[in-house]
Amino acid sequence: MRFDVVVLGGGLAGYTAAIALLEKGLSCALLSVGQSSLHFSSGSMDFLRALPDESQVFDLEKGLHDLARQDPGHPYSILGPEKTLELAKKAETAFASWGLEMLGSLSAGNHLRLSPFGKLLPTWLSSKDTVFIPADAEGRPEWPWLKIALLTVKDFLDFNPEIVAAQLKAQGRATSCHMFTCPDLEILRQNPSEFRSVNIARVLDQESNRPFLTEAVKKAAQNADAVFMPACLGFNRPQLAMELSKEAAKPIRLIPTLAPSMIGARLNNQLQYQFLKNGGVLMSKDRVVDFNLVGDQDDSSGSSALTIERLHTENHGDIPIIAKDHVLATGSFFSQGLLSDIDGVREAVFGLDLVNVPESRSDWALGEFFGSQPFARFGVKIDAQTRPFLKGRVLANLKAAGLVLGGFDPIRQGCGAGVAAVTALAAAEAILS
Amino acid sequence: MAENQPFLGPRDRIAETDVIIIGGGATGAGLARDCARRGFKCVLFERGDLATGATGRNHGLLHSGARYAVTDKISASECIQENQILRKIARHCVEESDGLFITLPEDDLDYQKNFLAACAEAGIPAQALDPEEAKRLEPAVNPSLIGAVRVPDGVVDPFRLTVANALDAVERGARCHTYHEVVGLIRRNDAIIGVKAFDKLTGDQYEVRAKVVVNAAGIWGGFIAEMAGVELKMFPTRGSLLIMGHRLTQMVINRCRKPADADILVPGDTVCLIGTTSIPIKFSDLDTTRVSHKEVDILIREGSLLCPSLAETRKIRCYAGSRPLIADESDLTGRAISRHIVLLDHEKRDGLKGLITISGGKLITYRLMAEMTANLIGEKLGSKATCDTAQTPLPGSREAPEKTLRKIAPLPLTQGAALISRHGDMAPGISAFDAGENSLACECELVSVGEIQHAVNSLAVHNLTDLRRRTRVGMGPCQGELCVGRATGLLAASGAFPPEEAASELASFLEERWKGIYPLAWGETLRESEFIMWLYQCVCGLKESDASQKTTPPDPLKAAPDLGAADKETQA
Repeated sequence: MRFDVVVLGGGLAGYTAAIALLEKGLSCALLSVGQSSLHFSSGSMDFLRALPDESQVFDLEKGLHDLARQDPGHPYSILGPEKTLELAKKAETAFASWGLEMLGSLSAGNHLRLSPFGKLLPTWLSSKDTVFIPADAEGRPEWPWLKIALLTVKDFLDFNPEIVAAQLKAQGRATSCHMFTCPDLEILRQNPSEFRSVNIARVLDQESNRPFLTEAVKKAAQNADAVFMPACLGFNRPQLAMELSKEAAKPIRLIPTLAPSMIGARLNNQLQYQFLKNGGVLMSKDRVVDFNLVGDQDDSSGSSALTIERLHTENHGDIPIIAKDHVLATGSFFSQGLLSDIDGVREAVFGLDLVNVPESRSDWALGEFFGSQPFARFGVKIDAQTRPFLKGRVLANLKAAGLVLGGFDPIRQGCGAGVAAVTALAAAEAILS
Repeated sequence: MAENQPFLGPRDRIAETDVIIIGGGATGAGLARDCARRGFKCVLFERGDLATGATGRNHGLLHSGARYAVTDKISASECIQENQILRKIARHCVEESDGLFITLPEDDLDYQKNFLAACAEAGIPAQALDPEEAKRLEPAVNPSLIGAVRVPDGVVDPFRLTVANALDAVERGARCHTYHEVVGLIRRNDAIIGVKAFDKLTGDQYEVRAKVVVNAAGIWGGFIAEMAGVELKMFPTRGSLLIMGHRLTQMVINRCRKPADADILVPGDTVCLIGTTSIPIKFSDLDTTRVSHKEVDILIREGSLLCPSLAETRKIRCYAGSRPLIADESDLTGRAISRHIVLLDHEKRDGLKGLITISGGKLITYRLMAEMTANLIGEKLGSKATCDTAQTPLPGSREAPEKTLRKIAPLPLTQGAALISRHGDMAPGISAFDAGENSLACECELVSVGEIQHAVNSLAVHNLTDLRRRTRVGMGPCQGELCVGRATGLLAASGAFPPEEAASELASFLEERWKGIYPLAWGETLRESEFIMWLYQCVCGLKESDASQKTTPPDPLKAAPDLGAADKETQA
């Protein structure tokens, strides 16, 4: 099988790179081993929440320049603040054209999203049906609503309205808690382990359950400026919250729940749809098991480049997959793009060169849960064209993007989605040039 | 919910009682039970939750005594005697797994002969097995073994055991106050007549008078003795253990040799443990025991010799406990450590009336220690009441599980079995016919919403860590992933803490759990850790300021001086 490009990894980075390439007329296959980390995300996209010195970021352009000084090994710094900015703006336009209806922008700076525990967190893009709170230059919330009704599904365990209400009250919001159910939910509830966000959304998205939903929303909205609900509706009908808003004549907005993330899963589906619509070939539940390199592998000077000639995958057996170029977007440890054992860490597919891995295992993790963990910074080394290295040699027809990259801490810096989008577009550009 | 719910409380205060017990480990709770059954009024004060000290920080091995048969005859016969008793009175806390003592090619097979003879002498049924037979019984055992002996070792859940004792004590009128620290003893002339207790949940301090005060504070007993002005020479020795994410064996596996580091593998519930190391530590390090990377390496190396698949199995957690080792008073140099039960009547020893210390011993001999102490209390109170704790089953063990199974609500089979394994005959009061209550909060350990609500309402659960000890939420292979987020909401809804404190409760729990995970951050554990950090820090936005926000009142004992340096000479 021959393609212009093969993308390894079906998360935000993989799909972003693949769709960008398909739109330029390249043929593209994408291998995905399973659910991407989007399924476990907030559903908002963080670009840069905090700098290594722990200061919070609201002006993103300034943040990028500060980051370049504080952290030259960060993928944003390797690409350069100007290039990063340009690609991030390109991502905003691309996402909009792919039908991801997101609010927020780089030029407006970070806004605030509401977490499952009611915390306000700076973020870049949020789905338009989620709670979006503008922030001023210092990051203070500019609340559009005073009276908020929290409406949750009875016995749903992955969202606790009282905890969120306590946080909203601390924010000076008058908050009330409401609950509803319907016969179909009562049936789902009988199974002790199936009452989770996406399953509930599949029930609530059904037209037959609409009257229950409308009634509950209208009731909750009576004495409120807005109704917040856990994100367990609108999975197959992304407009549902907006339609309910019209019916209740009040904004109905969603708050992410504990995993699985309905908003994240929906994003993943939308990306997958765009990919397929543009003619992409999806090889799901498949992984690379072998590859062939050409070039002088024993070139001790390290000056000549290596190229990937073909890949073999689990499902395709002896049928090789041959592509002119490749994108590695397999994610970090969680997605198994990076693997570790008691003796060391390695990149899962090619064994690429890594950055930031200390010699001794005792230096991999800190003794504090809340700290910038060294292992968070482990990952693939790239150059400014997102090309990775194998034993010091450039792999000419491979680009790497997203969380498989090293040199940054997506958890503490809140930059996972931003790095994925920006490096994916950088990889696509490098391939197109 | 059933009418006669088991209940751990009440939290109301009284000013006077017969007996005050300091320490809510197995010994303290067992003593409260024994006292209450003899009709002595008693109050137990525990500075944290039940079973937080050495009681909950060991193998959970129901010793047959075989481990001590060669080196310590007294301990060996105490163990086998209590082993047989606990199988009867605490069957919902005990798993009758049996154990193997294996001889490897590098061990001396002659030791096995001495071992068999010593077991026979101590009354421990021990049966030599052909190596092939041993491999058939326990396929995961090191196949290169050259000898094996089968003994009646078993597994005991120390949390369940301690709670069951406390429940029986409270049922008989005792008071059990957790999160109460004894910050001072009240002395009149040559007698201790009460204690000053500090309620950590409310910040109140108050006095309670008693005829007898018992120091059952384990390794912290040295601090209590110091308050009384008597000397207790204690040698804190840290033992570290490692938990694997699977149950590798059905039986306990020991090495048939002189006891050494990391030579006991104990299966329990869904996991198994290897331990322990043995390192003398300073008193100032008692509350901050972390396991080093070096200890982890030793545990894996030695554990793999018992069961080779242990090397490749995911390690989910490590932890350490301090054995309450106390100086052997018969040794004049003061350097020898007693491995036996130490019951000190400070009236006879130091001329100080009203104070008794019970220390040393083992988890499995807790009942015997309680009986010995209660006998001495009886003498002092002039009571002739006798002990019936060896014959009377504990709450939870009063009826056969098969019988209990018929009384619980129709739950999925595994869920019902998990509930009965944790609560024994108390399960029917917890299972419900309501779908919401049967909904699972923790999928690893099959813990339902109803079980969590029960734990908060009736089992003195004040935070996520207490909940873990009562229900195993967060104790299974995931080590507290989505379940703890759900449990936080349920605890807040049940009134364990106000919703404003939910974030700080969860953050503190995650910080505490991490101490046992970070030395094992590789492979699947690193992967899981990245996910948990991602979920709670990135998605939920919890911060270190949440963890530090949790206001625990200052610990008056933290300022206590180092009572004994961990010199080399204290090494056993």
